[in-house]
Amino acid sequence: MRPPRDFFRDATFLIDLTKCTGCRSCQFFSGEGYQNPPAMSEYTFTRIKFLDYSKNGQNEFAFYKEMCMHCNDPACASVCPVGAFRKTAEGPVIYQQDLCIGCRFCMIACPFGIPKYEWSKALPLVRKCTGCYSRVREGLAPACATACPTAITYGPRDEMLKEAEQRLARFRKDEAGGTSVLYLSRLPFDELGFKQVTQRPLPEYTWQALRLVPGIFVTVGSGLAAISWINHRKDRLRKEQEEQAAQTDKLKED
Amino acid sequence: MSVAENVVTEIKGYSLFLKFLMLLVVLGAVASLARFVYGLGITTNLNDTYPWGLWISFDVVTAVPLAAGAFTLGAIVHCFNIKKLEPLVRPAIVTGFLGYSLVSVGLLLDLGQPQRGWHILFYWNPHSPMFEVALCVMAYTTVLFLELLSPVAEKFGWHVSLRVLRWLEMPLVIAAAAISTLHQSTLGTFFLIAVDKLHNLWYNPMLPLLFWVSAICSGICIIILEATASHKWMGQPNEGELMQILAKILPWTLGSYLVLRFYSLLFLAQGPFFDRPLLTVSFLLEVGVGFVLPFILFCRRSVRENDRQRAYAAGLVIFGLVLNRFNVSMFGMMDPKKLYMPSLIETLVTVGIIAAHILFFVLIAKYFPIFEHHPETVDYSIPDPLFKTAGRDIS
Repeated sequence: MRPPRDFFRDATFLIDLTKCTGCRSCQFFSGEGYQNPPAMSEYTFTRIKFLDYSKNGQNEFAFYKEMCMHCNDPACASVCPVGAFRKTAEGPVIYQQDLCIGCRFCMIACPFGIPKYEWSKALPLVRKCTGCYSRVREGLAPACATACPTAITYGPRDEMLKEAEQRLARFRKDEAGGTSVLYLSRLPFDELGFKQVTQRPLPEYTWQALRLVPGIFVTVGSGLAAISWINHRKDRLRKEQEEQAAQTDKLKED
Repeated sequence: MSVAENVVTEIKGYSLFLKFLMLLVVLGAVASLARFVYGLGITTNLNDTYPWGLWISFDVVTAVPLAAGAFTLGAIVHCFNIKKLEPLVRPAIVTGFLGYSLVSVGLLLDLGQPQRGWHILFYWNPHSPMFEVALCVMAYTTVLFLELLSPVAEKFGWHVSLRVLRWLEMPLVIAAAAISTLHQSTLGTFFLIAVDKLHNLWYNPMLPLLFWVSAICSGICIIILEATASHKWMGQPNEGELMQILAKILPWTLGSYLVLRFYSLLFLAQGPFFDRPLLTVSFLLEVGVGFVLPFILFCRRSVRENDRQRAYAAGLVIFGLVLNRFNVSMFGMMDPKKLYMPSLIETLVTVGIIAAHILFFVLIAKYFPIFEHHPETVDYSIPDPLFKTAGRDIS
């Protein structure tokens, strides 16, 4: 479908959860302000979740930043009937609200449950993290990455991968075919409350069926046309034969 | 009497049942108005966990296969040339047209920005199943509308359009079957993206094919039910003999569906399958009562030849189909900790849409020749040379 491109130079978040202190600066500067809502919503594009666990009899905290993963091959962009989502050349996946018709297929498709809806409005739109595209386009880092004192590094994907491998921790990078957000964690990801997500790009799941569409259309159309032509021809031949028979009968009578 | 008075006296003469349907339609219309005034969040039980609810599950995903009778029968009658079944075609087309128009209504209510529906035509995303379905629904509704024009042209004696429509008949039938194949199956493709969300009993890569085959089964069964009902309640002739022919096709389509269903479940899907008791019950009801039982029934000659038993068996298939679509689009996607129930307004709108379908069908049957259609008796000739007809109309 789309021309394949490599994602090595895509701007990527490297989020080192081992270094996160849970200060919520990212949440604050992402437009959230002083509120600390219980879940992501149309107003909350990123959120720090935390896990309370004990290790060697000691209480420990683990933090985890929930945000749009800016997939390399985004499911939201593949299912949107009007193409309102776009993976930009810079890296962020953006949402063009002027195109959106509000069908909510993106919310069904996203494996991370990121797009949220303006349920309170009569004519609602979708809301999600923009990866601060307006800043990134101007060469700046996103607000959350700028605000973070410890954990978030932002830069080209290949450099971030190298950096992550150097830090050698539990490393999550290939979810849903690769994302522009990489996590490093001390704990296993399922214990942090990460959902298990397939490593295959999600658009492939629908594309394996959808790519057959033109072929099926032509096959069914021409197949049925051929069948009906044959069947109607049989009819016509029979009628002609009958007419001929009738004519010869008439001739004989004469 | 003025036109309005005429209409009022006409409506006063309708049966109580029709008036009740009208009440339901009005209630549905009021409820849908509330959706636009107060927004989706307040009027529906949809939220970020359940972005799609009853309106998508019934009004779109279920209503589309229920309206599959038109294309199935069209292909059987015209392509496979079983002309005997011709009398069933027009009611099927009316049902199909109503079905698809109401699908469009349901979809527009569900969209957040219905005034931008036309964006689909301009901002293409061929990678999106929704784009494909939307284009197909638009195209197919147009095709059905053209097919529906025949009885209208007959009623008003528009000879020229009758000729044009008859010439278009075959291309339209073939287009209808091809377009339907595409979007009936693509409705299944919708849920292929819900990896790890849709339960294993229903998620498998053959979902599109299964949706298409089951749509054909339900299309035929809807025709059987409709013909039985219009014989029983609308005083139409009994088409039992024709329905027997249709019933003979059903064991084949149901059989292939079951083979595909079990093949995909055993070899393509990944377990665990029976980890949630309610879903297991739902699955057993769907496949056992909705598909296996009617398959066995339709295999028996005595059932196919008995009007009542045949209708019951067809009803079972419809039950199975509806449950299957709900299982895929709603029950199988549910989070057991946080359930979804449609709100009163969602329910009223859907009930209103079903009522509107029945109401419009009865009304169209009342005023247009859809049951009395016998192609051999229709006068396709143009009575005068063209210019004379035109001249007469002006004078």
